[in-house]
Amino acid sequence: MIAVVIIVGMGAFLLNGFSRARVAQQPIGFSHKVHAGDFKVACEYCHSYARRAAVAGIPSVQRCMGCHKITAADKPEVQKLQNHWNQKQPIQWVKVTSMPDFVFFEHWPHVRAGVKCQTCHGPIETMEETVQVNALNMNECLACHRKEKASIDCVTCHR
Amino acid sequence: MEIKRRDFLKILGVSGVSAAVSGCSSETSRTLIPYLIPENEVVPGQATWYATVCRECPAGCGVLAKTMEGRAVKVEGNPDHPVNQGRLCARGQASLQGLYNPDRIRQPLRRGADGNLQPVSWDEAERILAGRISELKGQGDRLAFITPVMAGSLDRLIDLWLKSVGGGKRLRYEPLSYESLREANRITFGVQEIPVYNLQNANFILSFGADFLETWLSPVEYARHFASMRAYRAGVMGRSVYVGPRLSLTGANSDEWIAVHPGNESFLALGMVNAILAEGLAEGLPAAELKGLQDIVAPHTPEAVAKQVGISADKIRVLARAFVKKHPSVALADAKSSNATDICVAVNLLNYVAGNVGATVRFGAEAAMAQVSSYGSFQKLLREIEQGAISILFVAGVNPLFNLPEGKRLRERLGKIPFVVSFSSFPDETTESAQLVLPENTFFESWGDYEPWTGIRGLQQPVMEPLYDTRALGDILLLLSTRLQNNEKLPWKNFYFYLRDQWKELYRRIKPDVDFETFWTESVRRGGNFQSVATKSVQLNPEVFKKSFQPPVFAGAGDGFALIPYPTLAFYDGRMANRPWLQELPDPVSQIVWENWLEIHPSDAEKLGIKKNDLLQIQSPAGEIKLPARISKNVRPGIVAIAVGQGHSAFGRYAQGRGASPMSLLSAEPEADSGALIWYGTRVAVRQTGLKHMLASTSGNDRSHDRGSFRRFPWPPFKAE
Repeated sequence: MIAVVIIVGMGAFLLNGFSRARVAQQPIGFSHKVHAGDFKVACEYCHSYARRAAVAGIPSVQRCMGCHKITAADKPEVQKLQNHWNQKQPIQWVKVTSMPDFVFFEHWPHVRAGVKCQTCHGPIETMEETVQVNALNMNECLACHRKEKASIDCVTCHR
Repeated sequence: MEIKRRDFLKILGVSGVSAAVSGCSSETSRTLIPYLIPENEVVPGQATWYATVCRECPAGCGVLAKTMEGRAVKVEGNPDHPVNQGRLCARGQASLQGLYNPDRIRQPLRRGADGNLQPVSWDEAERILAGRISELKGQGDRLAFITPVMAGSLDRLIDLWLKSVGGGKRLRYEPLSYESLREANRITFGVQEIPVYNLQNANFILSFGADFLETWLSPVEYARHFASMRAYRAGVMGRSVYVGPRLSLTGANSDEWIAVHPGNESFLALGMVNAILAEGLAEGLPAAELKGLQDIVAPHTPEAVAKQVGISADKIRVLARAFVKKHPSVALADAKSSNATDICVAVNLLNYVAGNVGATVRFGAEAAMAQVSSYGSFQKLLREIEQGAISILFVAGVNPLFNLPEGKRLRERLGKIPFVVSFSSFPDETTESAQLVLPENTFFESWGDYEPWTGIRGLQQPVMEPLYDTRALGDILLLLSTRLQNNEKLPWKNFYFYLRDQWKELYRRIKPDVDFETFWTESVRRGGNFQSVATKSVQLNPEVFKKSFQPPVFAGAGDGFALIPYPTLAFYDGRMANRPWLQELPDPVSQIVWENWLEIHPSDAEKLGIKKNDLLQIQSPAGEIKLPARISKNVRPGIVAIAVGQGHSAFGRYAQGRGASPMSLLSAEPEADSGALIWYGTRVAVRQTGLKHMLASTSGNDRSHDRGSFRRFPWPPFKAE
């Protein structure tokens, strides 16, 4: 009986562990390749809080519609966006990138220090579907902090 | 199958892991929902602070509200506001729990045929109310409007609005009013005002029952003053003596407590004046005034007073000398007995002969609290309601059915005659009797201004959108006015425009060097406009020389205990009882949480055989309540003390079923001189019920049992006096 419980427990753990690598099913088929790669839209044009706040921010529907009222208005995925706007319904994106618990991460000091978005988020401008490529665990953080001579004091991140 | 303890823990550990992991990956926590249209001032994760005014009590402290993503999450004192200078009390901190209170009324309600309140639309509610007002057909005096002291634009708008519907009675109700102080200032100095008390400059504070660290006038301001006068500055530490029947937090923070019987404070003050004059310590008094004062206090020699008050004549002389020599000193009075005005007059005289008037007691800037309507005018209204002379009663921001001793009687009458409209944000005892409830925004959601002292004009701005379908009182009145086609008299589109117009008038009056828009923006940013007001010199009013000083009178059986109901740091008059933070805040003296109790002296308890936590029946000619006993030397023998604020019957889930309110025991008599409600004028009989009711105390025990928790050691700069 103990063995059964352990197997079930491990099973739940493994399933959840793998689900990270799976591509999330997004409500709209958004492509970073088209936006950031082909058309070279600057990251901070959409993720406008990255330089000012802890979170980079998902663009508001209004920001999307700023271009898509006209641009590519006939594409089916863009029409999904327009439906959201017309019905005044925000889009429920599925979260892709996560940090481990117990870390206090803020985007703004990294952006202001000139760290490229791709350093942590990978070659995002080539991704048709967005995935998390780095584990963003303490090893990776420390490696970069050491290389760039940023603070490795515990309380810098664990506060 | 037998499972060993160790195996059981293993199973528990593993299934715990799987539960935790699956918990983290639930679909709802993995969605990111951006704004449809982003707010201009919102940066996610970054706080935006707005200056506004705390409206939880009449002190009117300035606050800064921290908002995150458009939600107020914390309040702090506004350092620029002269009243609190960056500090804030527990009630101010708990104001957020008013905003987010789950019991808030979320839309207009009307009483249906079945007697229950049912939701209606604003449009329908306005239509009903406009219909009722039209039925008055210009008989405006059949309408009465009860509000708290508002001292600002909304106050003036209500007056204008009442005028537009043909008059109407306006009452400004505060359960903690200072009518006797106001009346005493008229008798003593000819000014019907409440002055500024400058405690921080005083070297000696003698408080006659004024709990200035808890509720008296402006507690946050005075706590700061007190800390500064008690600090070891210029080689001396300010001295503080508390006179009163109960050891309050203010009393406990003083150097000495003189436990007089309630109402005898006047004699102690007069005895001190007598001693000061007899010893020739009063300087610079005109001969005529000196003669007049000597005549008033002649019967109150320290020896005579010593007998009445129960302390030695020498002690009175020592106090009197110290009071004059530690100039400037200050004597404060919060009198609630049948001779309340006498006490305040006696304390005024004490301040006058010690040369404190103009130094620590400054007339000129007036407290808004002086605008309060007297309790006598409430009794008049009650009689008019009973005679059927009132058809519509508006109640906004106050809960008279809980606070007035006649609450029960009023409830019976209101059920039958008038059309009661409540603007309360929460269900309370008054909305229980209302036919229509038009919920007001909380102060975090509305525009407004409040001038607690002349010249200190706090400006209140909404820090977030209203959470529910509620409206600001000013907007409700203006919309109602549109429906009644009174737009000519009240041409403002909403209250915001009225407020701005009022500030335009202020702008014209004070003529700053900038244009109006700059002045307005700066006032909103700073939280108001603050000006100092020149001190006005006052002289003795000849009327004071004719004043006679009466001993206190108590209703009820002569062998009963004098009842001392008192407001508390946490609940004020009871309006804060629906805040869980304050319910779980231990009383600063007794450390008891969640309930109230009856405090009785050990010698009295022994006589009646009362033990700790015994449930007692407390009976007066007006009513009876049941409360558990707390036996403590913090009250003098012959009195019992009960905190006001608990015992709500309809104030939401957090205030429900806790303790009892002593207000229903009071004999509902106004004081002869000022018309104020007599709080300390009832004797109660205390009886055992044979039951126990355990009180939750966070301290467990009042004594240190020689554990050495507190040590005394001499520090040379402090010398014994």
